[in-house]
Amino acid sequence: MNPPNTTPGNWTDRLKKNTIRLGYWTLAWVITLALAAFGPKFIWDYATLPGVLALLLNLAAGMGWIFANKKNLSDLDDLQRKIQLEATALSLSVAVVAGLSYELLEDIHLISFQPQISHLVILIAATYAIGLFTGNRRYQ
Amino acid sequence: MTEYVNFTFLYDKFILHLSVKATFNIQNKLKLYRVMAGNMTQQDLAERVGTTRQTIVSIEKGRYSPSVGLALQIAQALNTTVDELFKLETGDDHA
Repeated sequence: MNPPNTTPGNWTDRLKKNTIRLGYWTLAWVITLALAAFGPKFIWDYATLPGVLALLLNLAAGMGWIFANKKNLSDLDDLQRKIQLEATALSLSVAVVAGLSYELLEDIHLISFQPQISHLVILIAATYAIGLFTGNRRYQ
Repeated sequence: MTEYVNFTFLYDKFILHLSVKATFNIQNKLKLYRVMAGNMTQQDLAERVGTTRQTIVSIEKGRYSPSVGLALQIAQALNTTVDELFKLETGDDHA
């Protein structure tokens, strides 16, 4: 990752633009994900071509979101990067440990339902949010 | 007798355990040099070096050790050197 361009003046404006850009890409990704998930049932009756196109569109939006996130991280200052790194490390660790334990629950017949990836995504989002909150509080 | 649990204390302990701690401590004279540079505010210094006020506050309080690049930028903005601003804390400092 490149060092942040810390030229005084338009730095805060650039951060605002990055945040807005990241917001748009997140929205685009969520909309295309909903289209790919619910389109087959409610719009095109499980036809192959629209399904593939919706999936490709979702992947493209996901790539856009990844690059927007990378750009946002590149423009953050030292401390904000550290807070992001700690939050990401926390959510990744929790996701791996809890995700595998959750999967095991079904394998050893302790739960009767199929583990859902959405539950893991919720856990990742929650731990990431906690990581950001605690990081910001620690470095106040 | 009323049972009292200090939740703030427990919460702060929890936060500390979640955070990655530095392997060394650095003392700094940032506040002194800000005052010497004409009572420059934390916000002014942050804008000059292209960072946030939170970062300057955190460095001053010794909670965060800046990167070499940021330390050099801060020293330049305050017309001094990194050596003057920052010092590695040794065991003798506590004596």
